[in-house]
Amino acid sequence: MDHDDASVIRRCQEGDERAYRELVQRFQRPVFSVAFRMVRSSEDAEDITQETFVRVFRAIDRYDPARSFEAWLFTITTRLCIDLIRRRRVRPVSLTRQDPESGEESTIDIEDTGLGPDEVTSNAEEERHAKSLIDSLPPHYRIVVMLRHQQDLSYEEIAETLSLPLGTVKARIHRARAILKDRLEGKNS
Amino acid sequence: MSSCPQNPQLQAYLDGELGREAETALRRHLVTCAECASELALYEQLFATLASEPLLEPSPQLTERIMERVLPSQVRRRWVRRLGWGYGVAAAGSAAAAVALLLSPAPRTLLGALGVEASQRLAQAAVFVVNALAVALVQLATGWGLIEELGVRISPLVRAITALLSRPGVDVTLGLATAASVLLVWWLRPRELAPGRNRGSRGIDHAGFFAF
Repeated sequence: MDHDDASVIRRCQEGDERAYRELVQRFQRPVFSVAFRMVRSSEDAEDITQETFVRVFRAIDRYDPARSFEAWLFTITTRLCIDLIRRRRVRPVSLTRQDPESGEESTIDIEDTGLGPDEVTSNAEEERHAKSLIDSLPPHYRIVVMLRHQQDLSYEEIAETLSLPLGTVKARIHRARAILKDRLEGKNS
Repeated sequence: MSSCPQNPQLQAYLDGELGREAETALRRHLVTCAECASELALYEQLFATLASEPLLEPSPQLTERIMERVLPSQVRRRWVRRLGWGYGVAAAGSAAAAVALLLSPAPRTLLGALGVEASQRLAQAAVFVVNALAVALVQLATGWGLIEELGVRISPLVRAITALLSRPGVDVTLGLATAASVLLVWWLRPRELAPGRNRGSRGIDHAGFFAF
């Protein structure tokens, strides 16, 4: 976070409405880019961008300037993206069963078998429509590469953003780059 | 996949995460290992490609959409608008319910009886309040000694009038003065004018003027 960002955030905390606009204009493109590359829908990405800023400004008074603003911002964005991806994968199932003897209905506890944020994988349809190198990666690699190479976040900030161990973040970034390097090599040849 | 044992260090090298000694050793290795040099060139190309990926542009309306949701003044305005609508809906609902109640016969009779009862209670309450105020005022005045004070102030005047009236001739004088006043008022009473007489020539034509 540069000095200007810190100053804008401080003015936001003081309630300066011009600073609100400035902060949105500074960060809406990075947030939208991350969201779009995760959810692959312009409309959903805009909704996520809007909701990200709503949450940021709702909690701006509690923001600790000692922490990375970008890490906080992208934490909110990625969580919203993951929530949306999860909702898209939800399939309706019956959650009640009837006891054959008493006839009483009871609720069935079902374990969430949906993929967690760490396990989100790409699907074939997305792969076919991939336009850029980053878009060709599975989501859990895509997000770390985007945060590292597009948003210039450090490994530590990415770990904080995604609530992952530092070692996992490094491993994923190295693996993702190795995949992309191979694809680039294939293109070159 | 490269078979060179130094290969996994290439990314850390580009990230600047190798220590000085490891970095120097890798540079020396790159001079002799064509495979690693080629890999490094590919990684450098990849880093450049990734860095040049443009940020995506949202629609131009997005900023205003966000501002509408986040600006404190807009948020306040939205809440006031919501409260206004809520109040309007509640008022309209109450009015509709009142009209529906008044239009149906049974509640109308009930409301009429309630109205009479309420009026009586209101009148009783008003009388009670006036009484209570009067009693309180008198008690307050007594408590402060106002009544006694008033009696003390008025008593010389009462004694003077009594003494005056007890003198011989005063009662006769007062009686004559009263009779003269009554005659004067009688003379000044409103009367119909005789035909041909001018109102302006009469001068005083109403006992009210005398009273004035």
